[in-house]
Amino acid sequence: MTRYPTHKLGAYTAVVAFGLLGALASGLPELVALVAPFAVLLLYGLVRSPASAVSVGLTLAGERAVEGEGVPLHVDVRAHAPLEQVEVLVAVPRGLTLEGAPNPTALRLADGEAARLEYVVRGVRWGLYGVGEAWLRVRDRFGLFQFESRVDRRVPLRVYPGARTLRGLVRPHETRVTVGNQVARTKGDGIEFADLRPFVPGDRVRRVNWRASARQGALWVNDAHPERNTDIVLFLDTFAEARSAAGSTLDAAVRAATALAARYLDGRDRVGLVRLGGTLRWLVPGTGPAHLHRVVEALLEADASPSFIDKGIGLVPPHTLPPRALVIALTPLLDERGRAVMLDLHARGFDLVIIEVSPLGLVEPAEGELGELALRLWRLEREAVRARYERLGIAVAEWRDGVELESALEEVAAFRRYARQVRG
Amino acid sequence: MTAAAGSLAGWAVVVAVVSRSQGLLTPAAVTLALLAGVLLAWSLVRAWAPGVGWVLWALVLGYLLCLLAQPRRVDEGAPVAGAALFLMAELAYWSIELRPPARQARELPARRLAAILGVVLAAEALSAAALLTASPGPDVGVVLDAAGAAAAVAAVALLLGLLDRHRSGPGG
Repeated sequence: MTRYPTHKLGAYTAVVAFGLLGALASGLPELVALVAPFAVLLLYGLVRSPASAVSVGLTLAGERAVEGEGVPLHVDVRAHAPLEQVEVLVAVPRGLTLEGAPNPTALRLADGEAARLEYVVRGVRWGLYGVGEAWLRVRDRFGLFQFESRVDRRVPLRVYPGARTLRGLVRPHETRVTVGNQVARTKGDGIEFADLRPFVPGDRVRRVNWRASARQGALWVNDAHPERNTDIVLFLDTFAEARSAAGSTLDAAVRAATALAARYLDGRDRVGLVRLGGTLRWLVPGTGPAHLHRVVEALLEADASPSFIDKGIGLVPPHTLPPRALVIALTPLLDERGRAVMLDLHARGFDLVIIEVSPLGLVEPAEGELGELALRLWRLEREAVRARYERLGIAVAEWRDGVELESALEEVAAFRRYARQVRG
Repeated sequence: MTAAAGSLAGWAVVVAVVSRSQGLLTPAAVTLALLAGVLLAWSLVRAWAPGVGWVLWALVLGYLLCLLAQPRRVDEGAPVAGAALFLMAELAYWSIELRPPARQARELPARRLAAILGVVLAAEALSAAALLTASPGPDVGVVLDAAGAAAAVAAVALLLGLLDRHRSGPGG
C-alpha cells in the first residue's frame, strides 16, 4: 500500500512550528497554548504509526448474466493488524450497477478480524466486462496518514442482451434444399397447400384431391409448398452510432440481432453475422443452440469505434454471404460507408432487408432557429436516403425507440409483398 | 453536516475570543477572522481540504495581531481559543473526509469524537501548565526555553520533511 501524508498533517505541522517559533521569538506564551492541541495530536499521531496490513478478496459468483440480471459479488476484507478505519470502494465499469452493501464502506477491524461485504452486480447494458476492482484506503485515527491501494482481481463478466420474443419474421425469397420451418415459394412435398394441378403419372394417390376430381371428371392433385430452411445473414453496421444517456443505436441493434438470431435458429435456419465498421468481424452461417452462443459472443464485442478506413463488403469472405441468403441489415444510416455497403449488397443480388435503427430519439436540436433548421435538413436527408433504397426495391423500415421490433419487421414484410406484386 | 456545523461553531468561538480583545489592531484581526470564516464555509461546501489549512493560518495570525496590540499581560483565553481552533479544524477535515458519503461502521464516529475530546483535554492541561509557568513574565528559565526551542525545531524539521516528500511525490 502507498502511504500518503494528508493535508491535515502539513497544515498542523506548519501551525505548530509557527506557534512555537513565534512564542520563542516574541515571548508570548499564549501562542504555545494556542497550538498545544495540534502539537499533542501530532505527537500522538507520529508516535502511534498506523498499520496498513490488510488483505482483500473479491469473488464473483457467476460469469454470465442477461441484461437486468444480478450476479452476487463478495468482498472479503481481513485485517492483519488493528485498523482504525478501512474504506472500501468497489469500482464497476459503466454499464453495470452495484447494489447491496453501501459503496464506499468504512469499517473498523481488530487484528485478525474479517468482514464480508455483499453486493449484487447488475448488468444494465450488454457487453463484456471485467469485474473485481476495488480501492482501499486505511486511515489512522486522526487522519494524519492514509494508505491507499488498488486491488485488481478482475474476472470477465458477460452480460448478454435481453432476449425479445419475436412471433413474426421476414420470410426469405429463396430457401435452401434442406428441411426447415420456412415455407418455400416453390412447389413440392410439404404441408402448406399451394395449388391444384392435373394428375400426372408418378403422383402419389394420397395427394389426389377427390372433391376437385369429382367436379372436373378427371384426377387432380394438390400441390404444396415444402418446408425448407434458409440462410440468414445479420449485417451490423458499426461505422457510427448515436448515443445518449438512455442508450444508443448500437445497443438497440445488438438486442435486435440477438432476438433475430435466436428466432431464426429456433426455426432451424442457418444464421451468419457480419459486423462491419471500426472493426470487421464475421461468422459463417451455422445452426443450432451452440451457434447462437457464438453469434451472441461475437455481438458482445461490438463497438462503434471511430475509423477512417473505407471498408467495403469486398473484405468479407465470400462463403460468409451465401448467394441465396436473406441479408438483414441493422443500421442507423449515419455513415456514408455503411449506406454504400447496402447498395453494394443489393447490386450483388442479395435479398436485402434494412432495419433502420432510428437515432432520432437520441438527438436533440442545437439551440436556436439554425439548430432546428439543421435538424429538419438532416431528417429530410435521411428520408431521401430511405426513398432511394425503396426505389431500388429494398425494403426499409424505421425502428424507433419504444416501438416493438415486430412492427418494423411487419413493415418490411408488407413492403416485400407489395414489391413482389409490382415486379410480377 | 453535523461536523461542518460544529466546525463553524468552533470558528465562532475563535472570533469571539479575538473580538473581545481591546488592542489597536483588533478591527484588523476581526476582519481577518471573518474572512477566514468565509473561506471555511467555502471549503466546507466545496470539500476543499487545503482551504482549512489557510483558515487555520488566518485565525492564528488574527489572534497574534490581538496579542501584539494589547497591553502586555497573559491572555487567559488562549487555551479556549486553542481548543476552539482545534475543534474547528478537526471537524472541518472530518466533514470533508466523508465526501463522497461512506457508510461507516457504527462505532467509528463515537471513537473519533472521543479521541478528539481526549486530545483537547490533554492540550488544555498542557496549555494551562504552560501559561501558569509563563505567568511571571517572559524570563522563566533556560530549561523551558530549551524545551520550547527543541519542540519548535522538531516541528520545523517535520514540516521540511513533509515539503520534501510533497515535492518528490507520494511514497511508502
